[in-house]
Amino acid sequence: MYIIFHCKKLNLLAYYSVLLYINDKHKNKNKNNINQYFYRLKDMEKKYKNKKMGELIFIQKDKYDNYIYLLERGKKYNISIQALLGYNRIFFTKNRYVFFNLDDYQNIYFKIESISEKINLSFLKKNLFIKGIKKCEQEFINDLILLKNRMIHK
Amino acid sequence: MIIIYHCYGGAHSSVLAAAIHTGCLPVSKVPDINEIINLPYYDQTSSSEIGIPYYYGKDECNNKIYIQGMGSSDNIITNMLNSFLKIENIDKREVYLVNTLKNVNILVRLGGFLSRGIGLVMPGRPLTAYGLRLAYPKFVKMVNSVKAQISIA
Repeated sequence: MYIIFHCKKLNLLAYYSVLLYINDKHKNKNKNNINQYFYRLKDMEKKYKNKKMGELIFIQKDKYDNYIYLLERGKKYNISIQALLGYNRIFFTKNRYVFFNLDDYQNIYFKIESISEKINLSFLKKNLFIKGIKKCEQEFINDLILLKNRMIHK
Repeated sequence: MIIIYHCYGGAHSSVLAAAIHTGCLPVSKVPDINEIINLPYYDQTSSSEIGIPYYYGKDECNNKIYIQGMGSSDNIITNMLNSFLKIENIDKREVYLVNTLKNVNILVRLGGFLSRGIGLVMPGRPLTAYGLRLAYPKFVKMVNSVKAQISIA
């Protein structure tokens, strides 16, 4: 199965969600230390920043043998998803896809964070990210747990 | 081989190109408006169906012809297709993408907007067909060049 974390524009939240999902860190969410993740997220950001929009970015396999991908797909959510499912159909590849939309958790902090380097405010990046995560954490972690449970019981 | 004709909504210019390619429309003369309007999928796809590739038929060399609307995200969808092919180990040369929007004139755009965009099928639909009739030679030329290129490949 392919699990695709997709969003309008790749930012730290996308990398964070993938890392949380892969490392099972959402289970003990209280002990979660976002600080500890931050530098890994920045490394990932550096690594994937030259990827083209629409490109499926392979991260790694999870422990259930699912392939984890990231997708930056611009504003048109439906078009990209329908196209991908369509290609799956016309090439008879018969993959199963699970899509996890990260746009639902975006907030003003993430938006400023993603442009912070352009406006010379990169020193605020970490704080903005932490504030952004705190704002959406409850819903985000719950949905991630739901996704994980779905994978366990597939 | 799979040939995908794509445009904005997958309702007009891609349908016309696919119809010419599959032999539903003649290459030697310009069809009348009714022939164009009565083509399968012509002016049918809704905006919620943009992105879905539809099978249109086969050509004389058994290539499969598809139509697809890509909205304004054609670059994104093209990148996605390329990475999909890479992931699935499918040879890139198995797919030929053709953007039909370059042959579209203002009448087709206006008619498409009226019919698919705001639901004014009348006069939108005949206007698109009229616009496509005017651009028909360009479409025939494009399809011939596609056929020539895939026979070389």
